[in-house]
Amino acid sequence: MKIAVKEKVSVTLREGGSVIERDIEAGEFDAVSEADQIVARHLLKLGLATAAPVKAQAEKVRK
Amino acid sequence: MDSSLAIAAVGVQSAKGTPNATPPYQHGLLGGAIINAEVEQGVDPQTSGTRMPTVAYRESIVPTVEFSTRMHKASVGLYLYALLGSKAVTGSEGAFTHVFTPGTALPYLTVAAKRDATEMQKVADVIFGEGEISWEGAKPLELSLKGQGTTLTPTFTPWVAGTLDETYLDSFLVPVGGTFEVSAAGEAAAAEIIAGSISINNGTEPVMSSGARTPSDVNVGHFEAEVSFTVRVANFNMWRQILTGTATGTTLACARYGAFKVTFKENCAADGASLKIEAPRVAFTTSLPDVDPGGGMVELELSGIALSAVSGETVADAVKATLANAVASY
Repeated sequence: MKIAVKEKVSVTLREGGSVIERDIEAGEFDAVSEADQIVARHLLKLGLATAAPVKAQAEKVRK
Repeated sequence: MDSSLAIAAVGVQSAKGTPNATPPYQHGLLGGAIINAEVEQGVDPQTSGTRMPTVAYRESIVPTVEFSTRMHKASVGLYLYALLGSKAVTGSEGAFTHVFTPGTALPYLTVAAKRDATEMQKVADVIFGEGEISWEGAKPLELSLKGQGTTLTPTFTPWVAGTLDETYLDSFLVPVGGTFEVSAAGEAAAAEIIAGSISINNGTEPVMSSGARTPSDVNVGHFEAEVSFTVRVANFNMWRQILTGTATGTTLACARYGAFKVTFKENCAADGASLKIEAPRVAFTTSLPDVDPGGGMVELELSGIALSAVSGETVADAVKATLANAVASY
């Protein structure tokens, strides 16, 4: 799951008894781990990120 | 002692069991004991050779925190974080935007109290279970907080002043200059709000394990957010919207969802801090007001429960608070 982060953001989430803390720079964020995906979904929900451009993902599929 | 000499200092902990040695956010108070101990004890029900009870048993001592305060522009972020649990911050160089949303757990805090000149107490591992933001007319906002902790220190010295001391400042949040939107059904729209309150209850309870009289932890339960708005109205459209779904409806319907969005500003600072609190899905109820032979404007009291909307993997936050100020991180 890839997202495009609009500006540098520091996130602290409490999910399922654990604390997830991330400092993410502006630009593409590749959420691989489960925790990163929770962060990515949170940023999308808050409008602090957008889904990575469809074109970029399509190119990756072609390769 | 003088009851007007009272200061609270609060700081987030890095983890449970690791008290914040120097809680940074310090401010004055509007009320509350700040720190207390809730003692549960009673007569041990044994028979004996006398009609009079002879033994008392102390079952538990729960350290508690309870106070109300102005919503100072810096410390308010700490309290929103404490009540909601999740945060995201963007910005730089003295202009940051913090977004607080409900998490599945809450941070632990250390709360210290200074009463008069020499009475100092503190509680560690505090979880704030309840908080209420309220305002009336153009009066400054008030924040009431209740929490429970695990470790009470009944006295300590010396008092270390918080590095973010808002005790003597008037830079708290006020309704003046703010914006107020509420709807009984559908998207939030401008409304003439006279007063309001937003309450958060985290359903906390102390965990009383067998090995100690003090809590081993504070358990976080179900999240509830209730709101109340007093709205000046020109008609009973909101009442009809709640009952039927539309302003002109005639058929009584099932629950309808409205929304609200309120913004507050820093006192006497046009470009100062601001706080927006919003809820996109609120189930409101209301009653028509009594008639009054003395006359006067007509107000509706809207009471609502803020709800989450779940769609696939996306869980919309029941309540979201966006704070703009100069604090880089909570």
